[in-house]
Amino acid sequence: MIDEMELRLRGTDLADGEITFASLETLARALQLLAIRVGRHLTGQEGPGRSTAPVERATELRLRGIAAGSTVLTIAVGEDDVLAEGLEHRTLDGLFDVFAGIAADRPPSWTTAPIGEATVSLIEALARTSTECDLTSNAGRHPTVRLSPRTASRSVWSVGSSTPERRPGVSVSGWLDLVDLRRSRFRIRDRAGNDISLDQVANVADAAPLVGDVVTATGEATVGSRGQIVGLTGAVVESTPLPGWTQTALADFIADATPPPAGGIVGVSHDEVTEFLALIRE
Amino acid sequence: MTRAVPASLVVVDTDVFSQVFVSTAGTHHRDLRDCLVGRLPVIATQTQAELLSWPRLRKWGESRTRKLDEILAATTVVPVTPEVIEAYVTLQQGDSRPSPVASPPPRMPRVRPVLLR
Repeated sequence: MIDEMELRLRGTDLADGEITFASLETLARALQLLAIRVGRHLTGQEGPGRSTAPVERATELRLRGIAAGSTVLTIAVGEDDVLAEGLEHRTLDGLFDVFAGIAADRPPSWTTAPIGEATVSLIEALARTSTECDLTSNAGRHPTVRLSPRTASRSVWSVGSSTPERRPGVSVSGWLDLVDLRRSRFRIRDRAGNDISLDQVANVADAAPLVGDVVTATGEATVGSRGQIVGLTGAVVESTPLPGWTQTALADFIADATPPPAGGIVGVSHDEVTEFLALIRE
Repeated sequence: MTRAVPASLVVVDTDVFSQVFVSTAGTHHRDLRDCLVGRLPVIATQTQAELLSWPRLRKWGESRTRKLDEILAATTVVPVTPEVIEAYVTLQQGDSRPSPVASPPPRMPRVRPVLLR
């Protein structure tokens, strides 16, 4: 099911169900920018460069309708099952976290500088349009968030953007993807669905035939804002040696040349996990 | 034949596996996913057994059960060998510092991501 969110704008100084084109444009730009930055953050694609197609597809916002009852914007979030990862659902979760953060003047702990900046733009756009907003979703896992954009703090969203930390001699493993052979750029997707960019790969000729295989790349790591590895520079890419006890599963992945699905099973929520873990601990 | 274990291999316990690979509640597990960046996760036999019991314990339907089977089929399980048992005993007895092994026998260790070296 496509996730939808409903943004109810109160105090617009217009008739119910109306919004000016100028306000709509500003709001749409700000909301889309925030969505794509949340999506990039969730997939470890922070930093410069164009977003990958799956992230763009999963975070694309589409206006489905404008209704009365104050002014209600119905917005669809992403395509369904992008790469079967549920990235669109996670993006919606992230957007709700940010809206709740605006309401409480307390950014989520995972807020990065780009997300903080996009959030301030969104607050400004909302403040120009309305005095109060409610955000709800059809997903059934988010409580309604109510916020007052004109009084919401901007300063708490200023997250420092320092030069990223670099760490030499880091190895990462996963399925190898080719990005741009001429620029020696590859990407590794790990089992958890994280993407790790490989720039200036040192042994391109050896790496190219390994596309689709499970490989290990060793090089200088760029560390993201949460301390996670986001990319390697100058990496040497090698086939991953498997231990002798490895049963067929991992060998099968290599033969299939596709990473196993990431993103979990639809319907298995945090509560379901908690219930299960409680049962097996009894 | 014995070959070197890749440094990127990591053993994950039932808690971590269920939250990261089975649940869809993504952003809540960002910290766990960050720990697994560039890692090849493997699970212990005990974790495999616990996860296989999930559909029965929680009365899952066929579709969800099949999806879990697919996820597990794509996951490498550390076999129970004399070396693994010996390593387990060593972890249980050999160190008085706080251990990543949280549960006593008979349950196999529930560990936060730990490198297998």
